[in-house]
Amino acid sequence: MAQGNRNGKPARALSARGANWPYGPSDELTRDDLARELIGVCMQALKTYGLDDRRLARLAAAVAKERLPGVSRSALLLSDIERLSKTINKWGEDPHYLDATGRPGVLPIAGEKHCFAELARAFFPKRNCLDVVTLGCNTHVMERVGLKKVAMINNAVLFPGNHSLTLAHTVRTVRRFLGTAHYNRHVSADAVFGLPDRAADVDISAQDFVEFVSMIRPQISGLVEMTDRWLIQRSRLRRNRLKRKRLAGIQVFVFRE
Amino acid sequence: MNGGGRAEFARSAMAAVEPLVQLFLELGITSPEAESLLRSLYVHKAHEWLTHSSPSGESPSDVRVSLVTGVHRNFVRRILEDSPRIAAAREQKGHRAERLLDAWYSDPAYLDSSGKPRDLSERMPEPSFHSLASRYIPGATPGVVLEELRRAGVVQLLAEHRVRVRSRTFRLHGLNASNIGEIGQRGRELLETLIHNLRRPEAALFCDSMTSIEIDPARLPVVRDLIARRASTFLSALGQEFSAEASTSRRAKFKRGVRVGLTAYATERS
Repeated sequence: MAQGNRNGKPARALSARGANWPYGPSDELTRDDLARELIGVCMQALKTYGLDDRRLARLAAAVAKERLPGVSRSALLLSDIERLSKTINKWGEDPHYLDATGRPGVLPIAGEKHCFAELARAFFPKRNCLDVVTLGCNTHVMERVGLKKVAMINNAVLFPGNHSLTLAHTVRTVRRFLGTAHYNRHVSADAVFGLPDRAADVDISAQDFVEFVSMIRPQISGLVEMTDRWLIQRSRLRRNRLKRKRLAGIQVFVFRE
Repeated sequence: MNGGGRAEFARSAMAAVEPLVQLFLELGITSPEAESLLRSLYVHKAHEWLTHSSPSGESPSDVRVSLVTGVHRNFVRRILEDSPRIAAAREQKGHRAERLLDAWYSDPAYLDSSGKPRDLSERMPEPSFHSLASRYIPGATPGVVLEELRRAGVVQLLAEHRVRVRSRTFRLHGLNASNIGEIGQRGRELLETLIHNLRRPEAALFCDSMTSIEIDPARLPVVRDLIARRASTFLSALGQEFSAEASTSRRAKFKRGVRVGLTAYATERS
């Protein structure tokens, strides 16, 4: 389905047709082919989460009837993850939570000051501190040190095996990418570059792919960490405090088709 | 010399050799390396002694040196071909601990999500230093390995029985031949680049710095750690990017290749 065009012919037929190249902005046939392909790609992905054709068709029909976008379930699901990200950001930045070497220190869970409970109270005011510890351990952000302390082990929240969170993360990623594509589509001729959207891809073996991932992981991590620090510092500036703000950032991931 | 006499002599010799062994340990010379060096010295000294003892000053045969030293004549010949040195076969290609350090920097079980080595608990929970040492230096007690790495300044013991790795290479800190050699090498490279740029500005080599900033001394550990992480990530990426270039160059037959490198270092001034 993902590879078909409006007439049910394989998408490959598009290039074989060879007409109207390069496709203009008002080429409806091409637009419909691509929209169909995009829907197909999403449906294929959703099927891996256990949704069958009938259920997908019913959900699609319900969405088509909606006049306004509904409540973002993904945002609700990811809100705890975002709070946890902010928690570890503070843990990794605030001198009160760092050890003598400048890295996130091992923190006592309970207490008033300079402990994990203090962080939990700041970012999860309605949650029990021990629940936050459990969330942190389950998402591989921290580990318990004995019974009364915790250590940060990762500066990124991971949720392997949690299908709902993965799907919510996918929704957010797709929405963000579509926003960037939408912006770049409307960029005026004066601002030729739009928002940066770059890719690099080459056919490589499975073994090289493993090496590639281990090579690129620290680079991506460094880039994201650097971006995070820059954005936080800029948003905290006194002169920016009262300005209207919108969420902005970068998202980087490795892919293999 | 009877058995008792030999034992007495061995005890006396031990007192004389002990400081030397201490020095070898500080220099990172292993026992097989020291034994090889001693054997080589033994053969050379025996050769010299026998030559002097001969009324005609004639060089002794390899067989004679072999009889005196107990070293096989084939080895005697090979050893005498060079000045006293550690045999190549015995020369440690890398400290045993380097296997462990390599794994700490590359085995996914001991890395964090950004691909950097994790701080490990000494024993529990897993992944721990204990499991890392048992896996990569089997036969050695993890506690002893940890103490040795700590002594060399390669790992740092943190609160709560946690361990942090500080360097991928096993090197004894302080004033020793290897470290002083490195100062010379680094200093020479920097001066060569600066002098080259003065003499040939049209073909200047890259030499640049970020604008220095003044920070709160309390933030120094964070900034040091950040500089170290960013710079090492960058250098490692550049090394990977050039690895294809380097392997192509290795295959090609140049009359004279050019050795290219990039060094980064942090500066601090109070």
